[in-house]
Amino acid sequence: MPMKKFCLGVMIFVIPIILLLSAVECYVRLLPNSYKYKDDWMWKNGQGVSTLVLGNSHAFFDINPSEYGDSTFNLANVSQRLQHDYFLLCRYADACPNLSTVVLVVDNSNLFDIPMEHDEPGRVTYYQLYMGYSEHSFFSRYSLELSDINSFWAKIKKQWNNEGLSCDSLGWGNGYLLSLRNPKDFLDENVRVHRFVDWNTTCQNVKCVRAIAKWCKSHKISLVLLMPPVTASYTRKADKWQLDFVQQVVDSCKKDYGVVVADYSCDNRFDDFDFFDTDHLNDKGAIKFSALLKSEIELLN
Amino acid sequence: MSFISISFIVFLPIVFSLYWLLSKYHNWQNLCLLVASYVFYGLWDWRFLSLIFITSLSSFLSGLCLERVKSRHLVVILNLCLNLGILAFFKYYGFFIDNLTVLLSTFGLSLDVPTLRVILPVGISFYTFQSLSYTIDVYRGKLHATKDVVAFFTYIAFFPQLVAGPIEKATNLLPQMTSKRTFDYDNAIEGLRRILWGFFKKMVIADNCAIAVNLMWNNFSEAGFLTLFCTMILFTFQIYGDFSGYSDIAIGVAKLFGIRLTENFRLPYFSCSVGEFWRRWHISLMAWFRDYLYIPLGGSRNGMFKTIRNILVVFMLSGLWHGAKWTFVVWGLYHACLLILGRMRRKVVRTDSSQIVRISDIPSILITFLLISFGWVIFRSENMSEALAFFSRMFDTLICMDIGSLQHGKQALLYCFLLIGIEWLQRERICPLELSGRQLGCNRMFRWTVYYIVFLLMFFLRGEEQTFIYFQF
Repeated sequence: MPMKKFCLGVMIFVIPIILLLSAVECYVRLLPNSYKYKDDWMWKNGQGVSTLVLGNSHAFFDINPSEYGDSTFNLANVSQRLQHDYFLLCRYADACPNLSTVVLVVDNSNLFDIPMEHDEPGRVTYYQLYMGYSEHSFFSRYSLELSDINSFWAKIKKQWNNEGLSCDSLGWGNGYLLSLRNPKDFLDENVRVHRFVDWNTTCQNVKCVRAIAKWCKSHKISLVLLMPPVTASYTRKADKWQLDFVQQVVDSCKKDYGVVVADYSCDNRFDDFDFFDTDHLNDKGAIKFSALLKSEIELLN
Repeated sequence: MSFISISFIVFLPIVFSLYWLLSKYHNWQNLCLLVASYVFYGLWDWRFLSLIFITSLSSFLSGLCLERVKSRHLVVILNLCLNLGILAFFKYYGFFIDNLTVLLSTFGLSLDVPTLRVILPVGISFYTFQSLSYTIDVYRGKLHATKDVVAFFTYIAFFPQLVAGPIEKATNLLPQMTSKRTFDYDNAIEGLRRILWGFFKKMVIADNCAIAVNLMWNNFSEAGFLTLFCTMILFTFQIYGDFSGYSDIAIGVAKLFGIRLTENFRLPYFSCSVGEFWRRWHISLMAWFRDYLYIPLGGSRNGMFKTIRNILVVFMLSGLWHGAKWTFVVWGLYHACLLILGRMRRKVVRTDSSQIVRISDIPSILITFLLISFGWVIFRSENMSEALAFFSRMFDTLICMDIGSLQHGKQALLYCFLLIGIEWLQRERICPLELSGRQLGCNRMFRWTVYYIVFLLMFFLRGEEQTFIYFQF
């Protein structure tokens, strides 16, 4: 009897909580976000895609596909790892029968990335829930948006500010406006650096780049390995051996798989006012860069 | 497996249901708990289950031998050597080698010993001390050696308290394992309240403080006084919320299984003296050291000199128990010094931890709180030079009146005030969510509203998940 009373009491107490949390979870999942948007877009419009942009924030904010017409889509996202790039490429391959070019950012920022679970677990959930990247089990924390409360509040805040979707219709991250640029970010002491952490993860990342290159070659798709523009102060502060290592990786891919390398990392056509911070272009800079890149891709095609 | 995980939310009801389905057969209940405990631990790292197994088996066999052989000394020494040896290897090997290398290098000698970076098994200090308590109690004749191997293994590995305590003495927990348990509604409800309160302390207080502390600590060399002071205070609450939160969850979960664990915290920051603090903070560890070290050394009955020596030994070892770092040793010695100074003071302050805190105690409470907070800076530091740099920056900025402003942690401070307020209002109760006896507490709607509010606060105000600090010990 006491057990029955206990179980009944617990159930009566817990049911409203479960209902409330389920409702909140459903609400959050219904909010627009770039992951869900890009997934939907790819399934619906993949047929018309000839050029696909992959990479992390350096691709997300720097490449504006509207410069190329509507057959290019920016499938990059903030902090997107190379393993995700590879996964997404394979995932949408069948949906994009006309795909002829893939632009992939490979630079100092993503080649030394550690697994996302370590530093941005909230984003793992997005890939799991909205892009079918089911690396983790259903019982893991990555199955619920509510399990990362910071991301949850950030999402709610964005929604309240009408900034729910952080990209435009072709997947470009259009939130880094020149007007929002903070000059303090360009001071030498504030320059962000991407540091090598360990060999295991770096080797995994290199493997992913090579896997993408191999995949593209086998599917007769041109691959552009892109090193986007960064400020001189960023290059100055970056570890030289890391930059050399990136160069070695792209060179080996070029040699083994015939990929095209587009290195804009030290391009002096970009000045500080083209940047949002030391390693991301602002909206004006992105348009300028996308136009430059366009000619490279046209040459390729 | 961590308490704060979806897998635990699934795991607990399954084990609970199975356990009470077997309520007619307490041996099967023990087996159920044992399997659950090994699964709970094994999901973190199954390889270290072998250590728990070896520790349990050696202590079980030692207990049996102690009642059968004449050379009892030898049995107890062998058991202590084995268990402390395992602990020493996994916890202190690197520390010992590093320090020996430094020491020899000062004499121009070098040491050619392989530098193993041994992984520290979670909770090793807790279950080792628990198994030692059994062997010593059997040796002292306080307890009969058990022949029930499953009950004994369950006593060592009981999952709620396996990885971060409370450290249960065999005299308390083992008899509960060997006797029949019946489901008690009130006890189970109390357990749920404790679990809820524990989660609140961990997820709202500790995790939010941790974010602010980590941010501020990383840049303390450029911070003003206010930031440094708040970092210290926030870490004081972080460690309290973290560890006492874990203990509350452990005690609550154990209550669901009809098992009573030792209270580990009794509002430690409401202590009027450092001595009282140590009767309110990590009670089970202090009780262990008192019973198995302090009293055998002579306690406080052999004059001032020996008392001081005993206090120093106990606190140095309790510092070292926390980890293989000099900061822990210094932290222990710092508390020992405060305790000794407290004993030398003539003025009598309230020292009985069971008494209710009064408003007139607030000045003593504040002074004690500050002294303890200083100690936590040493505890939090990677090494002594970091601790000294922190203190030196704090006092420099105070002298130069560089108060500065607080960039982070305002929200966390607010939560800490909330915690203090709740604990103060409910200071005569072990669990602040215990509302019976209050005017409104008799009303179920009111009680449930309070629980819902705490739950929602816990859920929506929680900080980024952090590993329990005491897992590393």
